[in-house]
Amino acid sequence: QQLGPNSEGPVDITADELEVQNKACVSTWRGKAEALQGQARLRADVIRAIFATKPGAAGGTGTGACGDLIRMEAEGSVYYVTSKDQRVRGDNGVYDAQNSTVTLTGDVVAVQGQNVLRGSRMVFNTETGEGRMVGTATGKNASARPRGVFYPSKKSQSASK
Amino acid sequence: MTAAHAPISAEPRRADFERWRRRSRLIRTLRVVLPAVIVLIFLGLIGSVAWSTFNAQPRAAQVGDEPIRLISPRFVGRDDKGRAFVLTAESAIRDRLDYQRVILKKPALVLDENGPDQMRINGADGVFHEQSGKLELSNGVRMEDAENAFTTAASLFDTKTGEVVGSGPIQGAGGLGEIQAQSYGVYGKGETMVFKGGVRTRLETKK
Repeated sequence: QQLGPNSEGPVDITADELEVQNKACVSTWRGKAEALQGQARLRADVIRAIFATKPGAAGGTGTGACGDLIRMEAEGSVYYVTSKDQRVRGDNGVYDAQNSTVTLTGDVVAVQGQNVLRGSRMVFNTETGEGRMVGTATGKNASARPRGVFYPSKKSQSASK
Repeated sequence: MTAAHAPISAEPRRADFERWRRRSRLIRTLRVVLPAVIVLIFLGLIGSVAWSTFNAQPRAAQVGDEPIRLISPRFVGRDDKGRAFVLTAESAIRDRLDYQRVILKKPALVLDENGPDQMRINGADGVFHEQSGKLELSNGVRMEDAENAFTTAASLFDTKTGEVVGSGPIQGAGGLGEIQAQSYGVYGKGETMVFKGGVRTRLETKK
């Protein structure tokens, strides 16, 4: 389970408030919530972590009755940073621990160095660091199509002259 | 019956009439007075009961009174969710000014012992308010349930609702991982825990 490429170890989450629902195995951080793992960072107004429920644990009160992390949902002013200087903003985000993906939706803006990419949905592979911007509209002037600005690096510029 | 006799026989008859009139007057009077006395006694009885009930003040402790000291006291009860609680302590003293307030030494509370929602809380010092059912714990409070173990400075446990709240900083570890915060509350049967103020959590992830 890693939030970004080369990010391992425990996830440190800070916030103004934490609510732990022991039986439902759901923990919700509210108020400038930030999850940090290695160099990967997920920041949002609310972060909610959903854990697996161990069978036969319905009676238990503690979260120990809960298993591994399944999913982490981020809501409101989502900001996701990976170790490859990839910075993405969106309205909502979901980290799927099983598929190792972070999906951001809403008004998604991804920045890497000088390159900027904008669309309505971006899916990141947290192991390879690959990001795929997906648009919901088709057609030449459709507004919700992904748009991007890329600056070729100096080497490729001199080679192309 | 001749005239001479008439006055003689009339005289005793008048005396009889007089005695009879006095007797019936007495009976008439008693018929009124006795029920009135009964009613007065009854009212007096009700009045004294009401008076003692509403004005029953615990007897103020005199200066020389020795406080009531309890050795290994044990308080039991049930919260409104039906969970039994047992509160024990090394020793306890009843507050001389308020008998409902019990000052505890090394209090230990067990909630829902051997049940699915068992929780233990203990501290160095405590005050138990028997009337309100509130237990204040202080000086190194430790709270444990099946999976969580937290330490905090002070905490307030309401034996009626079974809820714990604390305003002091708390830290500990649970199934979720390590948690630190400025204040906390445990609600429901321990189903919901809320931490507030500078919350820091360390989640152990699967390799």
